[in-house]
This record gives sequence, structure tokens and C-alpha cells, in this order.
Amino acid sequence: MDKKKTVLIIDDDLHIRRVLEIKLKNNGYRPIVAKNGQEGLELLNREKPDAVISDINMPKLDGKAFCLQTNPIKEKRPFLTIVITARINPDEQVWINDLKDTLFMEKPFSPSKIVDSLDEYFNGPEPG
Amino acid sequence: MKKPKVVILLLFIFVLIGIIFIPYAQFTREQQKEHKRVLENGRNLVGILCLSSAANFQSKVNDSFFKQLSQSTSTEGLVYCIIHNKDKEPVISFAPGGIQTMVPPAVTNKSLYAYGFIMQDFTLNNGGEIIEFAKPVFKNGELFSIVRLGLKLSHTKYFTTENLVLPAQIAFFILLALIFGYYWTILSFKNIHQKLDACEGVQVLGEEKNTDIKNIIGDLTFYLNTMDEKFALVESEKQQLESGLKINQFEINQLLNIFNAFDFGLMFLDSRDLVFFINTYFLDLLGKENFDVIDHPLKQFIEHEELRSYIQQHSLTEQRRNSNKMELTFPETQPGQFYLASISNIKDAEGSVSVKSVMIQNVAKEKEAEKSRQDFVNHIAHELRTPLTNIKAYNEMMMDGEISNIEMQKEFFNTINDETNRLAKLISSILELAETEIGQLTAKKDMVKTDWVMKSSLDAVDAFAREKNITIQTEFPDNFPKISGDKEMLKSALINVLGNALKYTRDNGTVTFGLKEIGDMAVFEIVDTGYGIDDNDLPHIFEKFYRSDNDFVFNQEGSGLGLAITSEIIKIHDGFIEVQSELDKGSRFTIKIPKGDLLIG
Repeated sequence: MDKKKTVLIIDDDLHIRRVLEIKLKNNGYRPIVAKNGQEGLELLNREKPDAVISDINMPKLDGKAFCLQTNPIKEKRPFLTIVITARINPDEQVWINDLKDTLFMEKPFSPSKIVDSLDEYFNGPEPG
Repeated sequence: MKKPKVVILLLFIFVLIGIIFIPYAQFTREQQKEHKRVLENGRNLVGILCLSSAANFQSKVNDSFFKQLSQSTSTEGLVYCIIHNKDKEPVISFAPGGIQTMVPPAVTNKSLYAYGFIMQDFTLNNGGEIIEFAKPVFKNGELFSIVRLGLKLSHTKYFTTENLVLPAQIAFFILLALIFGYYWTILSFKNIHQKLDACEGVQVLGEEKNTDIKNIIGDLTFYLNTMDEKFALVESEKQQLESGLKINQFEINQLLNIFNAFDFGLMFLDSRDLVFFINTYFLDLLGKENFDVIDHPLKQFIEHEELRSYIQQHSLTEQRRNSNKMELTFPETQPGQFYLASISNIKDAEGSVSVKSVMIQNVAKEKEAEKSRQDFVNHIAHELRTPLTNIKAYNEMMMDGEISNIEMQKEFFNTINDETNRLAKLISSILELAETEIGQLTAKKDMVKTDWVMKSSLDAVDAFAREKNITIQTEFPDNFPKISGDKEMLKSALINVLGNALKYTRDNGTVTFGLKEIGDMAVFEIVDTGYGIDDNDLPHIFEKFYRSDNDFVFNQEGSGLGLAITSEIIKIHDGFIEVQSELDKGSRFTIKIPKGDLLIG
């Protein structure tokens, strides 16, 4: 297998960061973590991750602002964004649909599902 | 009084026209007669002249010939007599100096080359009206001479006595008729007047004729009196109507004042979509004055296109009231101001609709409330789902056997346990908040002893204070006032504030809990020596789920509902909660609740 894919986890909840970190490590990814959108933005520019998993409700810079700011970067350097939301209401879906390479997952999410989505993005749909 | 004057004036004009036209007609007739006579005379004279010796150039024409000629044409006036030879040269001429030069050449030519008698009217070069009679004289079949006679028409006078007699007579008769008619009328009225006057005094009149007249006059007087009474009645009714109108006007003005005091826009339009009333609120919203709007088409004063078409599209036949409302914003107003427009039709007394009323109200508050309700639901969803997510994710990892390390397994079980507790706490907080909000209706209002509330609150936080080794200093008054309220709710409010004070105070610090009376209020004070509250956060700390961006505060556990619940409880008790804070020094929460004995007393 080639070089490990880097995945940026942005969540203000310590436990979610921790569980995703372990799950991703176990599945052959290199996780990096940020506590809010602001930190996430800094890490994104520095580490150039291949995927981002982001919460919405966060202090400093929230997930929506983060996604909107980083969407133009994808033109040059595409990466997958998985938005984790507590509640999807119709108008929230609209802005997510407008973004490039962005999925959303509702809380409570399953870590395995996240890994499946990442695998699919990097390796294409699994045969069978 | 005006009509007779007009009639007299018309009559005079008529007479005047008559006086002018009758002599004119007479005059024209006379002139025609004269003309005919001149023509006849001229023709005869020329005939005679042709036979005379002068025309044959047999004798020398002397002055007496012309004298005679002048005399026979005295009424017409002889202007000239010229006799030409066969070479058309004037041989004999009787004419005052140089008349020939005054005769236009065309006349001469026509006379000299004619083969028989000719007659022609013409105007002399000096302006005189002339008739020329000319006749050639033939001898042995050859032209011998030409006789020409110029006669002037005598002018009949315009206003001759004859002409004037007839109109003068007519005028005289008309005048006579007028004068007679006038005096006759005056006299007859005078007669009746005298008789009326006489009848009032005279009781008995012997003659039957007089009795008849008296009866007639009596009737007349009766009718006149009745008419007088009716007039008085009409006059009083008119006055009543006028005063009624004044009252109506007053009531209308009152109504308009009320309309203008409304805190929503109101506008009435007639069936042509022209405004006949608009209140001040609406005018302010449009930024217009009354005169810009009244009786002007909508286009001239409503720049807001959507609103305009909304009003125009609403038909007067619409049955449903407020069938559809329109939400709108005005670019001129402050941002965040939302307005709701609605239209309804107003029926008149007969039940037909002729007026559209447009209402527009500011719904920013409702919008705000809806948004905060939405935010609250979103927050609850987020707050509940975060621990739930953790429980699910950690559990899934364990079940999938991804965690083999014993230490890590322990950590995972602990997290699941902690998150379950967090969820349970959160749920009870939400329930407490809901109860508090419902509690506005159900709160028990008992006499609450403040010493009991303070001591039981202290007991509740005692363990937490010990854990952090924080000293709670109490400042109790000599006499504890009583307050009216729900003791459990009040206790819970104080525990929330005390708990926060302990939470944000560093280990081994101090928290002060005191009570004093200020006026009618029991005042609780909770002072901590903690991290303080940032100025940005201070205005929001009583909002539900408000979380500071400050890392330290953020990492503290909490539902984000504690202070919201506290503030709700204090509101129910007609109290106030205030906070002062300085970063790194601490915060001071002041809770004021009205004293209960006051309420009872």
C-alpha cells in the first residue's frame, strides 16, 4: 500500500476526536485532529490532508464556515469532506449539496460507516 | 329679479335691430328703384343724343346743349358726355377737366368697338361710381360717330324721414306696451296689498263680493302662514343636520387619531385603487407625506414593487379575508425588520365591497421568537446527540473488537459511562427548564424563609466545594426576610449560581454567599474569585445553550442551561438577576426578590 492517507478530524468534543482517531488509525489512515474550525483551517493548509471529517456546532469557526471557506481550495487540490451534523433540516442540506466532494452524516454516526465512506472515496466502490 | 331685466334688455336689442334693419331694407329698395330709373333715363338720353345734330356734327355744339343735358340728368348727375368721330377720336366732349384720364381704358375700348348700345358700371380712377351708356351712330352702313354718356348714381340717404317713420312707430308702441305693462302689474299688486291691509282691520264687509275676496285672501294668508311654518321647520332641521354633521366629523377625527396611533400600517383604497386614508405608521414606512399619497396612483408612492403588485392583484371580489399574507422587508428600514402585509375587503351597509384595506405590521419579534425556538431545538438536538454519538461510537468499537488493549478498554468503558451520565444530566436539565417554563403557570406561591433557602442551597453544593477545597464565606443578616414564592424553585436557582461560582473558581479559592435587605427587596449576592466572564460573553450568559469560545469555560462540563433556568425562575418571582465581572478577578451575581411580607401586608 502506498503512503497513508491523512484525515483531518475537526470536533470540539474530546471523546469524538479520540474515538475517530483510533478508528482511523486501525484502518490504515493517518489522523490529525483540530478542536475547532480555526485550528482545522491551519492544519488543512499545513498538512494538506486527503479528507476532512468536521462537526458543525463548534466555537471560533463553525463547520459551515469552515466548509464554505475551504470549498474553493478543492478546485486545485480535491479532498473529501464529511460533515457530521446533529440535525439535518432542509435548508442545511442545500448548502452541503452545493459543495464539492462533500458528504454529510447524521449524529449519532457509526465510525465504521465513516471509514467505509473514506475507503470508497479513495479506492472506488467495493466490488460485490 | 334678474329675469325681467334680461327680458327687457333683449327687447331693447330687438327694437334696436329693428330700427337699423327696417330703414336699411327701405334704403336698398329705394336704391334699386333709383338704379332702374337711371338706367332707363340713360338709355333714352343716349338714344336721343344719337339722333341729335351733335352726333351728326352738323351744328356747332354750344353750351346750351350741355346745359339742357345737365338739366335733364339733374337727379342722376351728368359726369361726362363724349362724342367720338369714326376714327374714335373725341370730337365733342363735355366733361370737367380731364375726366377721360379717369375712365379706365377697358371701358373706352368696349364703348368704341361695340356694335350696338352698351351699358357698363365702373369705378373712376378717383373712386366715383359711374354708369356709362354708349351707342354707335351709323350712316349709310358705316360707323359715323359714337356717343358716350357717363352718369352718376344719386345717393339715396340712409336715415331719411320716410325710412325712420316705421321703426320709430314700432319702437314707440313697444315702449308704450312696456310702460303700460309695468304700471299695470305694479298697480294690480298694489291693489291686492291694499286689500290685504284693509282686510286685517275690517271685521265686517257688507257686500258679497268683498266677502269672496276676503275668503280668498284669508286662504292666501293661511297658506302663507303654513309656508312660513314649514320654512321654520326646514330651518331647524337644517340646524340639526349641521350639528349632527359636526358630531360625525368629530367622531371621524377621533377615529383617524386612533388609526394614526396604531403601531401597524393601515391604508384604505377605493375601487379605483386610489388611497383615501393612510395612517402615520404606513407613511413613515413609505417615507412619504399624506399629500404624496392621497388620490395618487400606487405607482407614484410605493416604490416597493412586490407590495404594489400584491395590492393591485387583490380583487375586491375576493371573499376570503387575509387569504394570503405577504412577508416583506423595506430597504430603508433597519436590517432585521420583517413586515407582514395583509389585505381585506370592507363591506358597506348594503353588503357590497368597495374598499380595500391594507394592513402592514412589523413581525421582527415574531420572526425572532421563531428563530430562537428553531435555534433552541437545534441546540437540544446537538447537545443530546453528542453524548449519544459517543456512546454509540465507543460501544461499536468495543463490539467490533477493535480495542484489544486492556487499558484502552477501560478508558472506553469509562467514556461510555461518563457520556451516559452527561446525557442523563442533560435530559434532567431540559426537563427542569421545561418545568420552569410551565412553572410560570403552576408555581406555588408560599411564604419562603430565606434562611432555609440559603442553608439548603449551601448543603447541596457542600460536597463540590470540599472537592475543590473552596471556602464558602457566608454573610447572613440578623433577621432573615421572608419572600413569596416556590421554595424548591428558588433553591434550585441559588444552587445553579453557587455551583457556577464554585466551578469557575480555582481550587483552594473563596466564594462569598450573602443576603441583605435593600428597600422592598431581599438581595442575594454570590461572589466568586474565579476566571471572570469575558465582555463578549457577558450579555449572553442567560441565553439557553450559550457557550463561550473561551477554552477554559468551554472545557467545563455543563448543559448550558443552568443560568437560563435561574433567570427564568427569578422572572417568575418578579425579581432581577444582575452580574458584574472582571476577567481573572471573579464575578458577582446579584439576585433581587421582592420580600413576601410586603406582598401579604
